[in-house]
Amino acid sequence: MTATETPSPGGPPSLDLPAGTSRPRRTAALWVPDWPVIAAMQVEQVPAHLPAAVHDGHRLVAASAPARRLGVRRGMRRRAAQQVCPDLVLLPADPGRDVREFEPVVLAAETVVAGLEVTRPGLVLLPAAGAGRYHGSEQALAQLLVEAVAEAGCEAQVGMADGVGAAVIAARAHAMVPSGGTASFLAGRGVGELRHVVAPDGVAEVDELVDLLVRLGVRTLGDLAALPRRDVLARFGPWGQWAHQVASGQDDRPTALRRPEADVAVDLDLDPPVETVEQAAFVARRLAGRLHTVMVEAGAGCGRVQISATTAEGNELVRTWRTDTALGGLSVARLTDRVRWQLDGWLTAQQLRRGDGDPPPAPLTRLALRAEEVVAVGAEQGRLWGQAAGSDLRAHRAVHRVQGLLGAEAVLSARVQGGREVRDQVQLVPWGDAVPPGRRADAPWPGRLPPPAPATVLPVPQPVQLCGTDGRRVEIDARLIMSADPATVWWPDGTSQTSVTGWAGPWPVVQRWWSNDPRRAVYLQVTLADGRAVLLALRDGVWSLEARYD
Amino acid sequence: MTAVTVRPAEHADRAARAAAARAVLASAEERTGTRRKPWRSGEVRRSADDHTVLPIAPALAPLLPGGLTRGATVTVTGSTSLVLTMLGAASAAGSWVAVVGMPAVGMLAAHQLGLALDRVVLVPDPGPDGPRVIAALVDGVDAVVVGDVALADADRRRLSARARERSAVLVATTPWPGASVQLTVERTRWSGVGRGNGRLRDRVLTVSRAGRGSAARGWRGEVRLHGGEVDTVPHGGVRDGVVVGLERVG
Repeated sequence: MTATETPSPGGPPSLDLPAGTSRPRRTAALWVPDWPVIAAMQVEQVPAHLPAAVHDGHRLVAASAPARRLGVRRGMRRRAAQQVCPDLVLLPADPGRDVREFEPVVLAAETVVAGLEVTRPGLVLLPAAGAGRYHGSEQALAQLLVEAVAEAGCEAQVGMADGVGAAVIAARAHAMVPSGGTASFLAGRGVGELRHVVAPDGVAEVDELVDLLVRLGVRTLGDLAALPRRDVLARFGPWGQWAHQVASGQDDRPTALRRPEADVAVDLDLDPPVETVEQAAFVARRLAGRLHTVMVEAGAGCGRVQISATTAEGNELVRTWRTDTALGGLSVARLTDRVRWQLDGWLTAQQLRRGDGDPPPAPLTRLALRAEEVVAVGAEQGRLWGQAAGSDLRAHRAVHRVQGLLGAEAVLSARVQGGREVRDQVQLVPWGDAVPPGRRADAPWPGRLPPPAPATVLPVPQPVQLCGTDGRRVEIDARLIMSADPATVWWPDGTSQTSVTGWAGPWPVVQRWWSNDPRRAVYLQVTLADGRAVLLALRDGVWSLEARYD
Repeated sequence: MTAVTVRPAEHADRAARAAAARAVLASAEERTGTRRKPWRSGEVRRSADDHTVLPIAPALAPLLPGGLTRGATVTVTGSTSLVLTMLGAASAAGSWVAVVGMPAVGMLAAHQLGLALDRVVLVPDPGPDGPRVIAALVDGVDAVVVGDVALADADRRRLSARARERSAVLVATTPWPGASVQLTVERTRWSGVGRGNGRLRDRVLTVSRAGRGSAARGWRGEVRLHGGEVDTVPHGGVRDGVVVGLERVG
């Protein structure tokens, strides 16, 4: 951690703030308990009385109130949680969903107070002084907020105090701390409360700090506040100073009244349904024009465009495209092209998948465009004087031109991802397509083939024959013993052969035996008499040429 | 960017200062794409930091006398790795690379040989539109690798001319009439593999060069590829800093 990080709501603030000079501003915090679980349950339509929890693949990140009553705790392993509560509904974590689903709650709260700050999904901060005066009293404001959010379908707690940290802690306690009473309110609370105040990116540091404080005998926020500020800074660094300010009710940070704009969406019901690409192009043009008009009227640009279509069979096809602000963002023509390529892709793919006896492809009945990551025009800053911006721009233009010639799916970009087999380690995605990254490349992946990687990887492995010194096919048994030393490779044409000069391996790769797509192969690097080197694989008793090290 | 310094003695010279300011503006415009580099041969400046040459690994310099010149057409037959190695340094330094008609190119190997994959565009199968696709890419991409694409000789000549005009490098893996440098990998020798032990580690490529201009003097030598590192040894070795024993091929 460095002192320059300032995560909200409570990164370490600047170090030269004079202590006790002024009282922090009155702040209200609106907190929806267990928001990740509630959002997930809303989306997955899990009944509210069932115990549920959200996990990130390993551990639980949040648990609902019924689950907590049964002993499920945040941070538990999935298996341990299921042991405690066999009926537990486990839902995967999805930060995007949390943010998306929180939007209606924020809108509901905004009917009471304009100018909120969404600190993280589930927690909203607002300056309380003005709003409290307007609505009569702070109690009235809190009541209005809770009612408004309840209408949006969520239970929320509101707390008020001087300063951001104290307000968050008050919200968790559902307390209205009178002005000036923050220090005494905080004094009796454990230092563990600091964890709830810090933003998610500082949790690890604060966890460490809290652990250390407790071991040193500083158990309550009151104890911490009683320590001299300079000594706390000297011993615990910027995070310690931040904790001290929260504990003494001095953390003053004006709430940043910024929120991303809502998504802009347009849609069109297609009657009669669209079956051909030509028809689709007309629709695409109309829809793109409408979205563009809406965006221009709003004076906004966007970072991504989501195209979704519904087929007559009820299937939903969704694809997200990143728009390049460098290319002038989103013009009607470019948007039309994008939509046309996408529809073209869907309709053609359906045609190709279809066998002779299958019914004709399902026509599209509805088409929708949604601009995401909407920002006011001018907020996005291009790299005007940055390095090589000009050549990037030209390259992008050229690539888009080629996509116009061949269709979007014919132009690919590659990314390195984790995996064991040569093909698994590269992720190919259509150029400009916002596809989530694949498997992590920095994981160890034991059993991966050693570098250097082959420069030619056959898209489809070719069957070859590897014969041993005994003239028979080389077999490899379960203990990786070869039936004979490899001597000759017979090429796919069946008539030409090359003798083997050396080999490395055999290396077994057994993957995903638990899935529908198990993979079992033994790899052999072979050098040949003509100097070449190839990668051979044995699968189900058949040798194949996988790649060439040319 | 071209470094421009104004010495105090010239300070009074308004014309020099105006020229300096114009040079800075011109280089800024070039970088941002507002203005393209002059590509007519007469106007091309030949200073070292001028962007008329794409950077290559220093060890590959004997293969490409004069470097990987923008506007040139280079053929490399017999080794995909050599193609990727040649473009690695340029890609890492910010150039864009397009690979057309090579569905089997190993992108993991490309990554290991130094290419920045976020600036690599793949068109595995351009189909009958090959000439148009390559022409479109030559317009905007710094280096275009052309694999197995259906092209007539007339298309090849047109594309070479277009690459010259647009300051892009064409790298072909098949014979290409009028290429300025032709590199042929005659033989590969691998080391590191025993009989059932070791693994493929290093390779030595025997490369011969033919071509026009500064490449017309034939050259034949060995290139050692070791992971991302490259060494080059001409046949006959080096004596007193002078390369001797070059076999004249062209």
